Amino acid sequence: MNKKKKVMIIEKGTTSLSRLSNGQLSKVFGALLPCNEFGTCELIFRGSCNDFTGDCGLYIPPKEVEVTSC
Amino acid sequence: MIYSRYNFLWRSEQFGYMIYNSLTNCFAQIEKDIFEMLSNVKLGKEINLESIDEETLDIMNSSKIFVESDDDELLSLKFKKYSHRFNQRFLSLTIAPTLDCNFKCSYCFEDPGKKNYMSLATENKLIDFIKKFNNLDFLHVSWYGGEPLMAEKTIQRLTKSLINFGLNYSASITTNGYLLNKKFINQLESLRINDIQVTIDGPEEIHNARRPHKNRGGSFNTIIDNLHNLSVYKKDKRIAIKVRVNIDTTNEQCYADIYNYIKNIDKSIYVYPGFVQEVTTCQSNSSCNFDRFRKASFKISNFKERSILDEYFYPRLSGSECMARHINSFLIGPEGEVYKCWSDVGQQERVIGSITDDSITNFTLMTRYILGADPFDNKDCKDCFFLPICGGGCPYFALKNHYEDGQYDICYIAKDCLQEFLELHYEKKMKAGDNLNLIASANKSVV
Repeated sequence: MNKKKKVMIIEKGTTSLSRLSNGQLSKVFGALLPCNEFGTCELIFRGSCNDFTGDCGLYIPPKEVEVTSC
Repeated sequence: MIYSRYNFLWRSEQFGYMIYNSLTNCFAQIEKDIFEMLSNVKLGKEINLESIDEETLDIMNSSKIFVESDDDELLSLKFKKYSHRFNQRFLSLTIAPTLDCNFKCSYCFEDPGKKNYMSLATENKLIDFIKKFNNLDFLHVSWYGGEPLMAEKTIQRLTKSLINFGLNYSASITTNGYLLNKKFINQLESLRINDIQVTIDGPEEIHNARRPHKNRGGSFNTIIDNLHNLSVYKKDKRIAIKVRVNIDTTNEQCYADIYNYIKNIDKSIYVYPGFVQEVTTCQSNSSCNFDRFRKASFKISNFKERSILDEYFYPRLSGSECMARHINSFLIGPEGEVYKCWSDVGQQERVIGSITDDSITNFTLMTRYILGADPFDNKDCKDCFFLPICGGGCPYFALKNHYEDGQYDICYIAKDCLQEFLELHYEKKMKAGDNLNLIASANKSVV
């Protein structure tokens, strides 16, 4: 009989911070560039304007974030 | 090992026991005994590791529900943000080849008197400016204005030169869409533009009243025709089309109409509300703006009452920095003037330098944008559960608050309704058929 799960993950979230601390040194200093599904670096966006807190006209579609790093 | 301050633990009336962590953006449903254990730990009881099975403990650790030190986690977050902020392998330029515009929008913050276009000499200076950046791997250009398509030739010439640098190059464009005709659409590939933002403010009558063409009146039908053509063009291409609907108190009721209208053209077009914010005279709490609570309830109403089912509620970590904070991001105006923020365009006192003589003329403003009003220097922000999500909010308004006694609310919109947002996200996932009902069914008896 399968053991009953105590925790069921709905969204697993990011692992990028963990990756930083897991020793990928070359990724740490300046190289970690998150890019979206269109291959565009997330840095170009005004990332602080998540969910329209700012006056920015730009928008990162939800599915694009935290996909991978360049 | 301690219980992280970035945890949000609650019992949902509908869905049982839940936990969310804002540092990792992990969201989980948990059994009652785990909830009770976490509740006790939260109140200060020591974590009894032996009472937790290995799988659960693994999740608790990897999701940062249990951490060694919250201060160290904050340092990690700061390190990540600063790595982006001072990343010099990436150059991000927003280029406004003209401040001229063929529209006269009722709420535009740019000076309608500015009609200058970038000269060939300035284009050459811009290329020289880019050559001075060493060790670049990535170059991104956002075409901006005024209306950038009124300076199509500049876009063509500059793109050719920019591609010749041999860097990883990509481009995006913010346009009113009027000149986004078939001729320009067919150039998108050669111009490497894979991200297009067009603004439409509502159904035809409302849009035309708010965003008329300067000389030809209504602009709605031309933009819609162009969107149809763009949709056909993008079929087999990786290209993002975004339609921003500028929302204020006068047109919020028509958002669903224009949303559905555009989705009928192409489901893959991203449609989103951009809340009009008065940046000169009004503050966040003035009647002309949507405050945080109203923005949140607007999103909730879209989903619950207006049947906009792809409204998104799940928090998004602020992974990178805003261009205003990034050391290698600049907005270049048509005269070669340099700004740090899009909201500053056309304002002489907000110019930080010039590419024409390679000068920095407002070092103070530049350093304020990069280092001033820093959330990592602000006790309230540093202690805030939402810092990993908001990243300190919009730097433009953060500077206004810090240096000009502004009262702008720059916090995350769901700061006061996180539980509702998370439960709506869960509900959407359930409806979408995700296999999430394991514990939900098990918990039904306890709620």
